[in-house]
Amino acid sequence: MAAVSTPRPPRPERLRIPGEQLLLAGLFLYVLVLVVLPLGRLFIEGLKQGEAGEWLGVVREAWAGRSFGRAFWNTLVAAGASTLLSVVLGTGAALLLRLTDLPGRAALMFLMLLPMLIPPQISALAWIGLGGPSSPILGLLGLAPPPGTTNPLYSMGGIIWVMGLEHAPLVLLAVAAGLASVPRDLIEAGRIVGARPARVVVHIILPAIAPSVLAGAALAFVSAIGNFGVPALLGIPGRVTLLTTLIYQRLNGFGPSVLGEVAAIAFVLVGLAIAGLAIRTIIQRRSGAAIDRTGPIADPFALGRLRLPVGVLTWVGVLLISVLPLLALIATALVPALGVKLSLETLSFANFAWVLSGSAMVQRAFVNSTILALIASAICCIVAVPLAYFAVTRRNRLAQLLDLLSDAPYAVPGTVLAIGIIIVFLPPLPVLGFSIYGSFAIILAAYLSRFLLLALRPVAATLRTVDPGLEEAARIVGTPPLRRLWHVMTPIVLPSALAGGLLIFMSAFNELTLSALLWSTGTETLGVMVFFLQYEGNSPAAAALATVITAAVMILALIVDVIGRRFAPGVVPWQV
Amino acid sequence: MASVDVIAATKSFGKTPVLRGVDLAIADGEFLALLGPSGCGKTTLLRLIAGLERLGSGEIRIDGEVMEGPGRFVDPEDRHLGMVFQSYALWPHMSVRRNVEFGLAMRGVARPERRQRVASALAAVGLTGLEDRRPQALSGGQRQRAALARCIALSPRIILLDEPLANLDAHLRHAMQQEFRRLHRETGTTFVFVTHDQSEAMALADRVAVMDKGQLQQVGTPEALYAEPATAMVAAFVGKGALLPVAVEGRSQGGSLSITLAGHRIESRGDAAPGPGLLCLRPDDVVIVPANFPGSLPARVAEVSYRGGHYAVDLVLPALPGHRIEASMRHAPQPGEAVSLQFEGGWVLAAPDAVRAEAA
Ligand SMILES: Nc1ncnc2c1ncn2[C@@H]1O[C@H](COP(=O)(O)OP(=O)(O)OP(=O)(O)O)[C@@H](O)[C@H]1O
Ligand SMILES: [Mg+2]
Repeated sequence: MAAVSTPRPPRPERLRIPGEQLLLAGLFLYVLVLVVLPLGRLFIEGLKQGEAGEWLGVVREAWAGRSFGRAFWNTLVAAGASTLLSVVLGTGAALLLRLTDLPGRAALMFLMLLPMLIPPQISALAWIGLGGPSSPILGLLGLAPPPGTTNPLYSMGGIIWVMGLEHAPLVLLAVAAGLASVPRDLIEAGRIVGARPARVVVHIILPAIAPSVLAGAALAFVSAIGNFGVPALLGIPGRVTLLTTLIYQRLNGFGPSVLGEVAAIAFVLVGLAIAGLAIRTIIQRRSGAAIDRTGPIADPFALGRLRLPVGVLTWVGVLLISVLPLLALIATALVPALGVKLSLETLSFANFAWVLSGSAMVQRAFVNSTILALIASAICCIVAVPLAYFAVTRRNRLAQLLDLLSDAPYAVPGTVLAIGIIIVFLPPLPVLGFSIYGSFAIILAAYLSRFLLLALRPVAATLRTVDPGLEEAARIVGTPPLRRLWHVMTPIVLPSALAGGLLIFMSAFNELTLSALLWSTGTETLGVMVFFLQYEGNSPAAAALATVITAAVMILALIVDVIGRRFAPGVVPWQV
Repeated sequence: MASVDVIAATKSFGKTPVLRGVDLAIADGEFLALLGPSGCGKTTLLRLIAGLERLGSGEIRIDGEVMEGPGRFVDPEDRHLGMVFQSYALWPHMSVRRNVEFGLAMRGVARPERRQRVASALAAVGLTGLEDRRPQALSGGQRQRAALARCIALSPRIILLDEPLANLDAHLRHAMQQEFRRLHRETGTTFVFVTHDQSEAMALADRVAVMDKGQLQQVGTPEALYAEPATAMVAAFVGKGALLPVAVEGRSQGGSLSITLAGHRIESRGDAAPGPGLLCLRPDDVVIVPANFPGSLPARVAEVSYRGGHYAVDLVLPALPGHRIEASMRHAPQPGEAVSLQFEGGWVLAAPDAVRAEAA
């Protein structure tokens, strides 16, 4: 009898060597302190008794307030409506780009995914620059709102619009993936029985991709619930408070004394996020069996005579929503002072010069963000590799639990995580005796918690595709586990870890939500800096800084893209 | 009911030519099987007829009307064909009834008539009672029937089938073959049936078109393909013919050909000019006689296997190393045993150019 040689997962191996147990203990500590404690303490804090000792007093008090009620309602409306916009745009774009022979589809795809690379506060800034009375671009066209009126984007409508655009790529990616898995035969069978392309789309393709649309919508909804950058830049001046900005304003105004109250508000954010993610999980479970992926994907439908008009319309639309705001951002940055009309004579690079070398505070923000992003991405990678190795390759139960827990800080809104981090790190550290609250370290702690997942997922995914024989072969020749990890597995996962690390760097480099609640004088980040320059009314400087940040992020994205394509396919979120 | 004409059709995917000048005329009401090894272009030809792929050059007509040709292309939805896919391609989000009804609705058939045609199509394939099931809740054979019902409900003028039985087990395949024959008889529709199984093609079709490497090798009745293969490829692919190099001497008066096989002179039927040729021998063309029997060709038994009722005997010819002949016997000879062969029948065809060049 020939031995059957199907690949099987390696049998869990007992941990024997102390070095290995030490390493695992370190990972445990990391997740305990940075993930479990902040989120756990948040709940304990929020569930405390009220001042008068009544049961669940803090929650009851926080939820009873008028401002809470209004913010809750606003959040629901903004998230719901912006999700609707994201779904319409994302699904429409996916159908056009994946199913038709529109000219320039690859370039359109890139432009549609652009908002993913631009942090929400910068998108908001760009739209403020585009839509306001002093809009350089609308000004050129004579379409700008009259001077003195408020910017129309400072409103609920503005929040919905910018968030909807910001999250449309999430739907686009989900639907594009869904479309790729619709078997070609199903579409062709429809045409053979006499259905024209439009009817094939309505009756066959849309029902088949409905789960993907819903999953994308759930993701957009969860992102909208947790979004801070857009409501901060558009809602605060427009007096439209959402839950995230309510928490920010409370903490900013009253300091740590309101931690219990904001924790109670954060519950609602967590609840909404969990609801969204649960819907997504259920849909994915349900639809997994329905369509089995077979054969090649369908040829695009020929648009025929409509190709030119539809192509032109799509290009114009995409340029309007993806590129024009960025142009407005650059134009705003080129205006010498707010309110000056942009022309060849007035054009000035003074704002760029100022943000790059004229302000000690901005320069400090550059240094802070760079160092924070570097340290966070390095540490997350260093933690992710052994954690993924223990969880995936060695199938260690504890490591698998830690891996699961690492999802949480990325799934909950950043505002929520920040509150948890404050609660844990406000009191003096045990043994050391001092508090890191208000220092650089507390922002780093938040980043280490939030972004670990971005390195962990790609590394774990790569390890999952590795033939267990590799590990077993090394085991048979007697290589001790830590050496196996270092000499056999680490080289294999290096590209994924690197791609993940760069993603973390990008995310941390222009992060606002966490640092907005954690910064103090001396530890300003770039995200905070943009926010404050704009808040102070120095829009041209804010725009210049945002432009520089965006350019830096684009260059990083290009590097990630190349690494992803070359060495770690399926790792980079925007590659489909 | 309709005829199909494929005229000088070519097709390439990128730089790879897949069809190289195919001419095929399918008669009205015919059951034609497209037979050939994997990758020879059968599916591509079928999809071209359906309008699911575009021709490189050439023309396709249905009922004499140009479907695709220079400057003209009729969309698949306007060709009024039926197609059964190898994967069945049943829409997973629709019930069996909706699957069958969908095409009728697309063609604007009124609701009452739709109901009635769905019912009769499902009855014709024996699926009555399963109308409300989803395709996922059907067995392989039932899915096959549902796909067939979806196709016949529209009364298409041609039914294209791409290896519709490939995913079924042997028993079910046999039952479905009979179903196809019956439906063909009852509807009188033109059937074009793709398969790479020669026995399935022979059992089902009025005519079989054999393809190889993007070209048609021979189109004919199953009997003609078996008895008078036009090319070496057809001889080898259909009915496991052994091909032996022979020299064609000339035609004798009775119309048969005189040939020499390894110095041994035989009479056979065939279609070849004098010169190098190939003799196609099927197991029933070979008679095993005792060794050194006068007027016979010496051979040695290589392998014997029991085939139920008879033994398949694999023979090697010392005079022609590298060639094997299969014969069938009622009694098992010993492997290694020396025997002699006589031939009754066989078919001679002209040697392909390569063999000719070698002989010259
Ligand atoms: N979309 C495509 N792109 C590139 N090459 C293709 C494509 N479809 C088919 N081919 C190639 O064309 C050739 C003929 O393919 P076709 O599917 O027609 O073969 P077939 O005779 O149906 O084979 P089988 O019996 O395996 O189904 C094959 O070599 C195949 O690799
Ligand atoms: Mg095929």
